[in-house]
Amino acid sequence: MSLWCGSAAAWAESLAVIVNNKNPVPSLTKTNIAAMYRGEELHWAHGSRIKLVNREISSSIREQFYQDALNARADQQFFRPGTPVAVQSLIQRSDEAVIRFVSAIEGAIGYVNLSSVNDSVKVLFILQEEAD
Amino acid sequence: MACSNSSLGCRLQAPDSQTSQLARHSHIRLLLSAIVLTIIVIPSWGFGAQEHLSDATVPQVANKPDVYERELQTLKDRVEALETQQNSILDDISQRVILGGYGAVEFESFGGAKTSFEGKLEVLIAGQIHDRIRFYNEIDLGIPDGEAEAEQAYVDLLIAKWINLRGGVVLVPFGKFNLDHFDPRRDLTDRPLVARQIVPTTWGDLGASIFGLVPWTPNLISTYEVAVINGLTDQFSPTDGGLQDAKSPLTRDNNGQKAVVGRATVKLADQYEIGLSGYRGASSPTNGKTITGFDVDLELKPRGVPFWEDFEFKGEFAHFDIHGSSTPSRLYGYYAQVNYHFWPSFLDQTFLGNPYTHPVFTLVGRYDHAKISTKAGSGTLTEDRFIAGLNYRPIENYVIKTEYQINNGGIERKSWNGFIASIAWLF
Repeated sequence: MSLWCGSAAAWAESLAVIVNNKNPVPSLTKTNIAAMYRGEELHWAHGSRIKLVNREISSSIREQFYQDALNARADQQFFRPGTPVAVQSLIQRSDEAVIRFVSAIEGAIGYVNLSSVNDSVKVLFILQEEAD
Repeated sequence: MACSNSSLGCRLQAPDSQTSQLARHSHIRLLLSAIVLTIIVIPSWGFGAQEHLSDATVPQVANKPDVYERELQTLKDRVEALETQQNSILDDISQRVILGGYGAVEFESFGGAKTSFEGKLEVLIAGQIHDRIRFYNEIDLGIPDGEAEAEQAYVDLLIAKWINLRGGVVLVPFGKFNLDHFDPRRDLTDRPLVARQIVPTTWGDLGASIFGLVPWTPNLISTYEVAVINGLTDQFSPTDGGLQDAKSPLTRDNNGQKAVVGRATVKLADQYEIGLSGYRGASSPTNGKTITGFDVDLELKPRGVPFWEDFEFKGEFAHFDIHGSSTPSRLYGYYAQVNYHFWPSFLDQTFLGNPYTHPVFTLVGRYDHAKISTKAGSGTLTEDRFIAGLNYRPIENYVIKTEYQINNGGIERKSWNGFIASIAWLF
């Protein structure tokens, strides 16, 4: 945890992909994360359902996440194959709210600014802000 | 001594007399007693009060941190419990049942035909019965035909990423367009000829399928779905609708022999997709006619590639043979489409752009071709169609489409050229 906090200043604009502390998955790749948010991965390796947490379309953090992880615009929708039903995610409107939800719901995954991360959640991947 | 107006002063300063002296002494004693009493009693009240406060409050103050900490912790626990409960409810609401729908209203004007409005409305109900069991229903409310029917109504048992089981009224896995036929998702109003005359798009049937996804590398995945269904019937026509009327009416199989259909895709970086589909099944009750078909579809959506990221390319080719039939005996068709997305920045502050995050115009060009061969006297029928269209999407789930068609042939719109506009929405 101190490592994350210590490096927070350096990664001020980096995003942390977070999961519940009880989630046994040790790490994720960007491809795993993209597959989850595109609705291709529906369950964690240990079996429980993946519950996606998202930010509102107008937020800059969502724009950054969609760009970096999904190569998509912030308002891009991903659909369940063969249906016009969008992949479901729960919208939370702040880093704190995302962290609270992820820390409470075992199968949840979300993304927040790295500097917002605390001990109540587990960081599985860091999307680093690309230098200009 | 003048004493003109002060009665007390006059009495105190009255001329010498025994009575007045006694009275004066008596007054002085009274005053002194009062002073002494005041000195003794009042401070004792004050100190007494101070002593009383000290006795009661010092231990309380000493105990306050613990008391307050305990109370604070209790409150924190309760807030956390409430948050957990709230988050669980939110999770349940967001995942369990989704009620939505999509609709479209279309206007068309073709030379030689009356202008007309048409429309459709479909209700979508999806959700989870369990973490591993989900359902999906798509009900066509029967506008304009008047009869509501299930386009899809199935339940999935989610076993693993690479294998899952589906049963019910399934959307037949044949061709990309059939699997992504939803009006608000498309950029032109009219479906391609190949998806109207050759592949009976919005093709659902009773049956069961297995489907899954296999990742090869981080950027390369394959998907597949193989279904066993009642299958197409022999209600096809060489001149009116091709295989459209051969779709199963969602009743008992007319021949007792199941059709097998499937589609497999390869996707690269979620931007480039190629799909292959195949179909085989008996069509007539007497088993004299067998339908076989295949389909190839392609979709390219370059993203993050300068210049090209504003373009999309898509196309599909489908071919069916009807063995034992002369009218028709063979059908095939294809389409190729290019979309160009753009947004002029001078519109940012207008009603078209201002309230929306990513409004977009799309310029669309498409070429369609279909051919229905018969061994009967009517011979071979073909039709070619060129379409230029423009649509406006303030948000992804609402679109206003316009298009102009140039037709040449003898299957559907013959050689009538015309204009189509529509509004489609998804909620």
